[in-house]
Amino acid sequence: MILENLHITHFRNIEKETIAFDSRVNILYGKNGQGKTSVLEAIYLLAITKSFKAQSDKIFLQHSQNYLDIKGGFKSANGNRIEVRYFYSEKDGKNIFLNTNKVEKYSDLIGLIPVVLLSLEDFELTYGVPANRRRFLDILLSQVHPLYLSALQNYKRALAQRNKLLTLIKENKEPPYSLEPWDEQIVKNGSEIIRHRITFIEFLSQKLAANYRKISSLNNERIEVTYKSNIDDELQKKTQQEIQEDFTRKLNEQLNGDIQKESTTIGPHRDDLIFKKNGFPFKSYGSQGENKTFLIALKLVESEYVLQNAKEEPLLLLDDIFGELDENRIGHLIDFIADIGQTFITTTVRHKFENARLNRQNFFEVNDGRIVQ
Amino acid sequence: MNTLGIDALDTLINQLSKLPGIGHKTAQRLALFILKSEPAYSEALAGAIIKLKQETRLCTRCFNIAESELCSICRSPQRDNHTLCVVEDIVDVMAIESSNEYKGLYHVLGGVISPLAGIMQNDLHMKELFERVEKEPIKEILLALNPSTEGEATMLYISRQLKESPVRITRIASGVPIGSHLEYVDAATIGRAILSRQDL
Ligand SMILES: Nc1ncnc2c1ncn2[C@@H]1O[C@H](COP(=O)(O)OP(=O)(O)O)[C@@H](O)[C@H]1O
Ligand SMILES: [Mg+2]
Ligand SMILES: [Zn+2]
Repeated sequence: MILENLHITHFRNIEKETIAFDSRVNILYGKNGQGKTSVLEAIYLLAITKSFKAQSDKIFLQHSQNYLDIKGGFKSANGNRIEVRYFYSEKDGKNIFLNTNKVEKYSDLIGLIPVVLLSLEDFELTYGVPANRRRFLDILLSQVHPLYLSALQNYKRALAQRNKLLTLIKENKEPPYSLEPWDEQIVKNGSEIIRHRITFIEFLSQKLAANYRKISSLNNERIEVTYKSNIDDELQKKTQQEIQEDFTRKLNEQLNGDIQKESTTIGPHRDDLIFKKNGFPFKSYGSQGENKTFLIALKLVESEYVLQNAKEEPLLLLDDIFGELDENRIGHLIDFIADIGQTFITTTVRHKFENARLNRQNFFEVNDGRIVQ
Repeated sequence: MNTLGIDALDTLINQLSKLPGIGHKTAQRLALFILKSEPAYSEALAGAIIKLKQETRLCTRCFNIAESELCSICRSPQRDNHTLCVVEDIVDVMAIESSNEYKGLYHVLGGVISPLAGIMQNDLHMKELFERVEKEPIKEILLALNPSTEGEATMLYISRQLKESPVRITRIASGVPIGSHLEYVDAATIGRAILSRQDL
């Protein structure tokens, strides 16, 4: 997917701007606090229907304005023009339009415009709580596999119903066997979620080391990723059928504990990803620099995965992450990235990109909410 | 809430806004439309509403809408009483009837199981369903609940409860998009889905 032009009105510190993007590489440069990240945020909103920074629309509505309007003109791989519009007003709330038709179910839009984002917020991915890593998997896989998104929605719904029922069982208001239909759905959808996650993690394990070397000067690092599930240790070796059986058995084993806690302790909503370097978890041993390198490598694999599995090339949004890399490495990296999909990079140091094979149409200066090529 | 302080108007707006899918603004528009219309129209509308409640009730067998103890489908000798289609709501009976592909009887559950909404199996016409399976010459139960998470769980519940019974349990399958509600699916799609049902 290519974002050809973007119209932004009353969003963050951007009053009203129209930008015509390059189809491969776009470098948004400028001092801090000028609106670079906001441009990426606007693009992300059109693709994912939610912001990666703010929970509520009020936060990114420009101060003292009462509506905001973001319109993106896209060109798909098969040449179709697509317009996505995100409109928010204090009066009518949020509305999203696809080719001027109002989108009723936002999940229908997910995956149409695949995006991969790497921002400073992502540094919590390695250090932070497991929920961050599950969110990473969920956002990626929902964009690429519509089945994953529907399994995830059904799973979460069935889980909420089951947890409610656990409370009723604890209070002796319902018999334990009333869990059965919910458990079946949890197992069916949960194992679908696990299957997709494992397939992605196998892809990740194969590609990660090579990508790490593209960015890091250290050549003999051993990078590993494993999926940690409380259903079983070695799920990747099991068939779908076996996973379902193990999952069902584990749910039953934990039943009494779950009733006491009034919550479900087994399943992919409790799973985690473990990143290791030379046998040690990044989470506890990686330095900040290593972590950054690792995350860039991870995002490159993520982009390759989208490229291979979705019908569209992803948009790559890289927010302020190249600061520590030298000019040569940045040059190589940009060549590599530009082959994956249209790229949007923000930076405070334009000169670091001088070695990359770029022209004037690849650069945009962002200054106090104004954007000029 | 802006009001002109006219009691008769506010009362009508208030009553209309209790209807599903009608917000305060729409209720205002409808009320003003009625206000401006011919007296004959408002009388006919009010009469139709009163008549609906006076002259209909729920069928004691299948819980579809009826004019006497049994609904017209339960009373019809043309219907195949070996097949029973289980639906959530009366609107689903209407949707399936409009496809003209189904010739059996119905059973309206009155909802789906949802602990979060405080609806358990005993709050639905579930017991009556199992009694019918015992008493009536039913050979096939066609589950046509909406494929929401709750609809799926309710269908699983029914099929597990009837595990020991000799009736064949099927569900409408292809064609009905996941998560879409039967009442919004066009008649042709429902027709095809009924013809291509699957065993559970
Ligand atoms: N709702 C808003 N209305 C007006 N200005 C805002 C709003 N939200 C953030 N800003 C301002 O917008 C500027 C742009 O932020 P950002 O895009 O993160 O800058 P950059 O990435 O260039 O450092 C910041 O100075 C911030 O204070
Ligand atoms: Mg920024
Ligand atoms: Zn009847």
